[in-house]
Order: sequence, then structure tokens, then C-alpha cells
Amino acid sequence: MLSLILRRLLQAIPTLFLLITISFAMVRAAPGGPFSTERALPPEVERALQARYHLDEPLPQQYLRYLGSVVRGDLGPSFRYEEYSVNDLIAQGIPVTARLGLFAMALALLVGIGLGIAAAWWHHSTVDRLFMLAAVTGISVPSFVLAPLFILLFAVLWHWLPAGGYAPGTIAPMVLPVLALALPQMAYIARLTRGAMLEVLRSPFIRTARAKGLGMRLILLRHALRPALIPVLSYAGPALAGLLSGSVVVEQIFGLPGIGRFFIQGALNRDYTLVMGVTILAGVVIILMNLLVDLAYMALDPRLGARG
Amino acid sequence: MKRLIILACLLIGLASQALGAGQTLRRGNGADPQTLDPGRAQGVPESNILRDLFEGLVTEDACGNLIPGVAQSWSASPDGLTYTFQLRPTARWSNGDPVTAHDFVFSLRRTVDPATGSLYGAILEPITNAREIVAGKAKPDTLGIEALDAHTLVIHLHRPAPFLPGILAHQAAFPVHPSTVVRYGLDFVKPGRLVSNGAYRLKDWVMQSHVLLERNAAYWDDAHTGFDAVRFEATEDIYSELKRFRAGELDITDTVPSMQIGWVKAHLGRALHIAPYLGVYYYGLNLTREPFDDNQALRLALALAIDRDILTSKILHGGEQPAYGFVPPMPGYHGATFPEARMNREERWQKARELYAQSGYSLQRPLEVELLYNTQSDHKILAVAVAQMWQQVLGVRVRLINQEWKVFLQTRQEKRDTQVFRAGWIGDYRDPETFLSILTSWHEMNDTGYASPTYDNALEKAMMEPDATKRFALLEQAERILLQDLPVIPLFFYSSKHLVNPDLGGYRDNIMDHHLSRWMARRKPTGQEAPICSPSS
Amino acid sequence: MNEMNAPAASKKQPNTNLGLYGGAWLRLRENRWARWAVWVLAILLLLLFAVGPLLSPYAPDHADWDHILVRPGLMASHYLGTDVIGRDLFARIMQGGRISLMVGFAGALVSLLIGVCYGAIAGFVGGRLDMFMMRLVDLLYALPFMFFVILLMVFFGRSFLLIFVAIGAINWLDMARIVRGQAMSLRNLAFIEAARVYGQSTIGILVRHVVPNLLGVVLVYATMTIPQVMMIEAFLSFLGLGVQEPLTSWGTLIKEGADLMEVAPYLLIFPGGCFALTVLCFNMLGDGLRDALDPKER
Repeated sequence: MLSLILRRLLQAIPTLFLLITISFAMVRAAPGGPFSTERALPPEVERALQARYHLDEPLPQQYLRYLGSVVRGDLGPSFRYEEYSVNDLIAQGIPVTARLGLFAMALALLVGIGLGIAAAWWHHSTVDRLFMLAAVTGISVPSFVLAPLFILLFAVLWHWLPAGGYAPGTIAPMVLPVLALALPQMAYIARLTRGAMLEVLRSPFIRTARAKGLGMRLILLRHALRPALIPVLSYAGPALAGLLSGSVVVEQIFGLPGIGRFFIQGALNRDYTLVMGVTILAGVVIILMNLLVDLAYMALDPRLGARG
Repeated sequence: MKRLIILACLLIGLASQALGAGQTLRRGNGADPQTLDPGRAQGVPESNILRDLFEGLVTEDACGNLIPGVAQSWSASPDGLTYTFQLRPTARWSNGDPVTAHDFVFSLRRTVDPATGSLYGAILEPITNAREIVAGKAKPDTLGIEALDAHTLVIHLHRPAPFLPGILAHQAAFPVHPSTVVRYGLDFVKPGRLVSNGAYRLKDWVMQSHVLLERNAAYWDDAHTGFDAVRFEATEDIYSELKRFRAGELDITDTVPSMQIGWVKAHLGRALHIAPYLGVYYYGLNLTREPFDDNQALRLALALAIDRDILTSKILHGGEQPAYGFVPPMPGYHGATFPEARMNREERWQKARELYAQSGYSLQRPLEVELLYNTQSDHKILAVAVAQMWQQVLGVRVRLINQEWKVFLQTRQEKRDTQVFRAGWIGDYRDPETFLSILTSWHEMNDTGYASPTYDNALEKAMMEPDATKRFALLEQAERILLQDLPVIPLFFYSSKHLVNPDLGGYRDNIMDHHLSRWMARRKPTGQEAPICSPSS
Repeated sequence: MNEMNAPAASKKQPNTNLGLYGGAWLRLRENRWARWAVWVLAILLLLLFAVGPLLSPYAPDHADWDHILVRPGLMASHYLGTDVIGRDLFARIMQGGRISLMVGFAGALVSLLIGVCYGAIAGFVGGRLDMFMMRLVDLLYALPFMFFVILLMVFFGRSFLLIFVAIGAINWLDMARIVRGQAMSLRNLAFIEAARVYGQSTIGILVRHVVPNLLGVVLVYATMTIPQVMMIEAFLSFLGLGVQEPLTSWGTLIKEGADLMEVAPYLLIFPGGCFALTVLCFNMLGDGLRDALDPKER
């Protein structure tokens, strides 16, 4: 297990290098600069600003400087928030986005797996059909349609929950964003669980268990659930990383100060360092999630451990 | 299970509503501020916050009229080139230090110093040597400002500028606390460090969320400050902002989506505030390349083919005024218009078609032109509408190009690819000069390539004129030259649109759209107030 | 966001029985949902590409100044109403649908082409090349592509071509993995060995034997990819990064409708409904195909 982790971390180095290089190239090739303003800057002022951010150096030198500072864990100063560093901004955004993503994923997993099991249990029944129709519909309605609808219903019409904004330490403003983010995932997970569950239920060892006269509930929870969770798991890892980009829209609609919003604002404002910082962060999250999935695989199915 | 969830939602909802009320003013403020450094700030969201945090020599009342701020009085020399300010001895920084004339000398020098990286140093241009310092040709300490003693400040101008008090109410002329700036450098604006001299001081700033201000007990007029705290919410998504206002989470919105004005009028009429705003929305024409170089008839044809009434009343319907001139209406100044403004729609279209044919185009040989605008829903709709009008009236083929802001600015400033481009200008102070000067050949905002010596001279003459009445007449002449040459097609004059909680007292519509929080308070049930501002000089 | 994550197509044993597709077709026809989905999609395609333009007298970009924000009805033959500058919603939905579907098909095609070629080569050739190619895929998997696509759109404008090339480029990784797995297991099967013995070239074997056997998986996967690509397009449109005016897409129309949902709910309901229905049908068809090709599932 330790060797797996070590190997994965070593493999991550070229990936991160590639990631930094691509994003640096992309950001620098972009037209428009961080200091473009409607009123063109006086040349003297522009020179002073360029010097402050080392933009007056040749590109290769800037690239090396950036690479060096990333290795030291410093993502550089933000261009848009002139007095803050990218590390400051990301440190501020992570708790918001992490809470949003984790809550959404937990909700999606809990309810999705539950619904999936129920549908598999009552296979071919009305419940099954209903759930699955709801699930396919849920997948087909994107979160950016759900979010405004939720705001309209729960905040504007019924005044149950706030329509947006952020207050550290309170749950209320997070409820709707979490729901909007979780529902499509939930639908997908329900479908996945149902499919996997049905497959497992048909397998010989379950038939044996059934023949032995074990109760249905015991079979489901003790024997069928574990193998059925594997496809769900392999989905959930990347999905959690994917929520990072999904939260871009949700954070925008609900005005939450998370990573996704920093990313969009950074891109629009040519905040070179902020954009690169968030992209690197997203890459790191994906790598970590993949590692986590592998570890969970090992826990769920010991046979996989040998293959590593 | 489901019932439980609903119940939980209900409880959380109730709890959160109780939190929101109280003595905090909650203002939607559009984009998140870039910085809270008065010397370097440039956008409207920043200036809204800075007007609460800081106070200049001159400040504004609820109606946006200029009133004494840190300076309790001032006088100008007969030639209009020297201003002397008497500072209020009671003015204090939030840490208790007195606000002195030396602080202003320090701050204004800092603003024009290129090393500060200020984008607004140019606004202080009338002050002696300001232009030279911004250009790096003179040292900051040569700026024409001196402190005679702690409470007497003298400002020297290189040309008459009767609008100087207006400039001094702008954030670029706000004071900063010298010793904090020296000690922390750029970091002096962070919460916990920022020392300010306005009615409020900085409590907290959560980026992309909100800026929280609290009452500054050291402020000289603190007794009249209404709210204990002000929360400026970043509300970039204007549609979400409207929903948040309806959910009772905001007292003032930054704007109202123009597509929803009709609906808002019907449902939230009491809260809707629409007022003229000191700004012009126009399409610039690139005069450095075909088809618009040397073709005044074509430019006029395009200008006439646009039905501005449809734009303002059917698309925007938010109180915008059709613009047939370049300078928005303001007290004492009778702006020029192009002569065809008085015609009706049919006559105008007829004239447009004649001019179009005269400049060598026809249905068989239509003009093909690119219209560049920056990504934003109102700009998009307007561009589509104007393109349709040009096509329907003249048969022009328009290609719409939509670019994101920073790319858009670069394209526009390069003047190479653009033909027609969207632009707008909000006046920094209440004077026609702030509008007319942007089309002079030397101005940084002039992306049309328009360089007319006649126009430059006419404006220069007005700028050197000490007499206010004569000066306005000269400015008017300059505007007439501009509308004759037509390097830009004005579309409409802006309006400010806000939703304001009807329980909020002390809010006044005004043309500057400046609303200092210190004038506002929760309205006592009996309180009756005059709803409209009377424009003073 | 689920549109980013490709469904893991079920691990299907390679089926060498030539009657496979015939049986699958029968099973598909028995599936009620899939049958409905096919009908709906057929009608939709017909409407969008053939009949629709004949039904509406308006061009999608024609602004009717006297009929702004008209409600749906028969008034002035704006059947589904008009938008904020009086453009006919029906005509715009037709145009938007054509573009959304084209983006969906083109994006799926791009990812399919790259993925199938890449996966087939890696899986069939095997050895060191396979290892290298799969390491590259692993490496690319860890890149946050959605972020790159957003950057691409913000920086370099919203060109039609760019959208589906970018989207296709995200999606091919899953396809490559799946195809490679299939190709690997096929490689060692008897009939391929036989072909090799008879002296067929590698390319010949690929074209004649491997590709047809992959068709089933590819078909299922393609059906599932189309709605995903449409989702991504809508996602980008929602961020304001979709196609250029005066063109439109369902995503763009949804965005415009969501902004105005209180004033003119039909601006959201019609495009949103069309979009959801189409995605739904593709998903159901995909499910049906998978079940049909993999009898074990039923």
C-alpha cells in the first residue's frame, strides 16, 4: 500500500510539470494583458507595473522563475487582487469549494446508492421504473437549470432559504448550492448502483447464498453491496474532482467565494498567476482522487491489491 | 424523510433571516473590488466603498452635490489658478490621529507618482506639473500642492479648472494615512491595517463575497452616521442580485437587469429607482481604415439609421435617454445635437438612405461591416438590434464580433481590425470636459483614431477660459464640431437603476449615482422625506 | 459535474458470433423505452433539419420590433413567442437545436475517431508501444481539461470549430481505454491468430476483424457521448462562452431563458424542455443499446 502511494506520487511529478507548462503557455499566449484598461495606461505607469510583476523579463526566464516558486509552494502574487497572493486566495476559496463539493458528493452517494439498491431490489416493479425514469431525467437536467429554479422556489417565493451570499459558519446559504450540484450526480449514481447491483445479484455466489436460504436483506447488505460499489467508486473519484469545475457555475449563481469563481474571474481579468494556481490545484485534486479511488478499491476488493 | 428535510430547511431559513436584519446596511455592489487603495482604485465598485471609507477635501451630500469635507472652506484666486483650503481641525483618522494638510500633500503626490501604478493620476492633470510627473518627466515633489500649516493647504493649477472641487471629491484625491503606507507598503489596505478618515472603517474583506465596514467612531461627524455597519456584497450576476433583493437579503442593488425592468415596475414598483446617470453609450468608428476614413456621409447614414427610441423604450426601457449629442444633459450646459435629430423616423431613414447611396453603396453593393462588442447580455442585445436596424433600413451586412473584455480592449486600442466598436464613458466629475476631452487626439481613451486639429484647438481654447459661462459656450462649440465630424455614433445617455428597500431613509437619486452610506438610516415609521434632489450649481 | 465523466461502458466479453447484431436488433426493438426514444429522436431530427424551417415564416435573427416578448400563441404566427428583441422563439429553437445537435455529433465523432484509432493501435500492437501510449493517457487523465476548455474559450473567442474540437479532445480518453481493452482481448482470439497465419497484414486484420468486433461498444459509447457533449456545450454557453450571435444553441437559449424566467418563463421552458428531452432520448437509446448488445444485463 505504501509503495502504491509512493509510486503514484512519483508519477504525479511529470503530470504536474506538464500541467504547469501547458497552463503557462496558454495563459501567456492569450490576447489582452492584466493591465489592459479602457483608458490606456501612461507608459511610465505601465512600466512600473510590469517591473513589479517581473513581466519585463524574457518569457523563458519568467517561466523558470514561476516554476521555481511553485516548487517552493509559492503560487505568486495575484494580479487582480494587488495586495494578495494566490496562496491567500486559494486558502480562502478551498474551504468553501471543499464544503460544497464534499456535501454534494456525500448527499449524492447516500441517496443515490439507496435509490439504486431499492430499484434493484424491486427490479421490474413500478418503483424501479419510476426511480429510473427520475434518474434519467435528473441526468438530463443540468445544474445551471436547477439552480435558478431552486432560488426562485425556495428563496424568492417561499423565503425558506437564502438566495445566495456567503456567511462563514452557517449552513443555510449552502443548502441550495449543494442540492443543485448533488442532484444530477445522485441520479447518475442511482443508475450505476442499480446496474451493478443487478449484475451482482445474478452472479453464482449470490445464487448460492439464496439457495442456502439467507434473508434478502442480509444478502444485499452483507454480500452484494461490496462488489456492487466498485463501479460507483470508480465513478465517484473523478466525479468529485469534476465537481470542482461544476462548482464554477453554481458558485457564480449563488455568489459563493470558492475556487471556481476565482478561476473564472482570474481568466476574465488575465490574472495569470491566479489562473495557473487554480489549474494546478485542480490537477492535484484529480491526482489525489485517483489515488484515493485506488486505495478504496484495495479495501473493497483485496484481490485487486496484488495487481496494484 | 421528505417532510423532515422540508422542516429542516424551514428552520435553517428562519434562523438565517433573523441574522440578516439589524443595523447593517446591505448593498449589492456589482463586481468584487480590485483594491481598496484610493490611489490605485479605478472601477465603480471600488469607488462606492472608498467613498464610505475615506473623505476628501470635498465630499458629497445625499444628492451628489459637492459640500465641504475635510476642508471646511476654500477660496480661489481671481485668475482661478490658486486654491486655498482651510482644513477642519476636528477631522480624525480612524486611529485617532488628526488629518492634516501634510497628509494630503503626501497622498496626492503618491497618486501621480508612476511608481504607485495609479490608473487615475491623469485626473489631477490641472494641478501644476501633474501631467509631467505621470509621464515620468518630473519628480513627484514638484506637484503644485503645499501645506502652509497643519490645517491650510494650497493647490496651484497650470490652467483654470472651475471643476477642481469635483476632482477633489474623487477617490484619486482622497488622503491615505502616511505612516501606515510607509510602514506596510501596498499591504496597508488589508483589514486590520487600513487606517481611514471617512464615516466607516474596514472590518473585513472576504474576496468574491463581501466587504464589511463598521462605524468609525473617530469620524468628525460620527453623530450623524445612520448605520453601525455596511456590507458591500459582490453581486456580479445581476439576475441573482435581483433574486437576492426579492428574498430580502439586500437593501440596495447595484443595478436592475434591463430586460426585467418592465416586470420589476409592475411587481416592485415602490422599490425601483431610475435616474439619469452621467454617462454616454456610443459606437466608435475606426477612422484610420476603410470604410469610415474620409467618409462622413456614410458615418452620418449609419447614425441616422438607428432608431434610438426603439433602443431606449423597447429594449432597455430603464429610463435611458436617446442620445443625439455626446455630452449628457447637465445643469448650465446646453449640449449640441446633430441637426437631423429633430426629424421623425421616416425622414431620418430617408436621409440615411440618400447618404448611403451618395457614399457609393446600394442593395446590390452593400456595405459589409464588423461590429465589435464585449461579452455582456445588454451589449449583445443592443448590437443585434443595431445590426438589424442597419440591415432593415440600408441593407448593410453586419458581422457581430463578441470579445471578452480584456481582448476587446486590446483589439480596440490597436485600431487595426476594428470597424465599429462599442464604447461608453461615465463622467468622473460633473463637467462636459470629462466627456469632450476623450476624443482629442492626445487622449488615452480615443480609440477611433480621430485627430482633428480644429477640434483639439476648440477644446483647448475652452480649457484655458477662466470665465464659467464663456467656457461652457466654447465647450458647446467643440461638441458641435465633434458631431459634424461624427467619429462616434452616440446611442443613449445612461440611467442608474437600483432597487432600494422602501424602509431605507436618506437615499436620494442623483446624476452622479453616488450614495454615501452615512446619509442613510432605517426609516422610522413616521419619517417623511422629499423624494427628489434639486440640482444645485 | 456529471457531463465530464464518461460512463464506464460495461465490460463486455467479445462476441465472435456473427449473429450478434441481428439478435441485438431484436432485443432493442423489444425495449419500449428505447423504441420511444428512437421515434422521438427521428421526429426531432426531421423537424429540425427538414420540416421546421418551412413551418416558421421568420428567420431566426429577424427582430420584429412590434412584437417584443410576445407570449406563445398563434399571434402573428410566433407560435412559441418572441424574445427580448422580438426574435421568433420557434425559429431560434430550430436553429439552436441544429447547432446543439451538430456540436453533439461532431464532438462525439472527434472523440470517437481519436479514441478508436488510439485504443485500437495500442491494444492491438501491444508491448512497449501500448505501455507508452497508456502512460500518456494516464498522464492526460490527471489534467483538468474543463479548465483548459474554459481558458481556451475565454482567451481565443467562441469559434464554432474550437468548441467541438475542444470537447472532442476531452472525451477521447475513455474511448481509447475501452477500445484498447477490447482490442487486447480480441488480439489473442483464435480467429485473429488464424488470419495472421494466413498472412494478412496488421492493417488488414485491424480493418477486417478488430474494428467490426468493436462496433458494438463504440455504438453504445457514441450514443452516450452525444448527450454529454451537448451538456458541455450548454455548460460553456451558460458561462457565456458558447456560439457567436446571431447564431444560437440550446445552451445559449437556456441561459437567456433562465435569466428571464420570471418575466417570460416560456423562454426557459421550451428550449430547456427540448434540450432535456433530447438528452433523455439519447440516454435511453444508449441504455437500450447496451442492454441489447449485452444480454447478460437483462
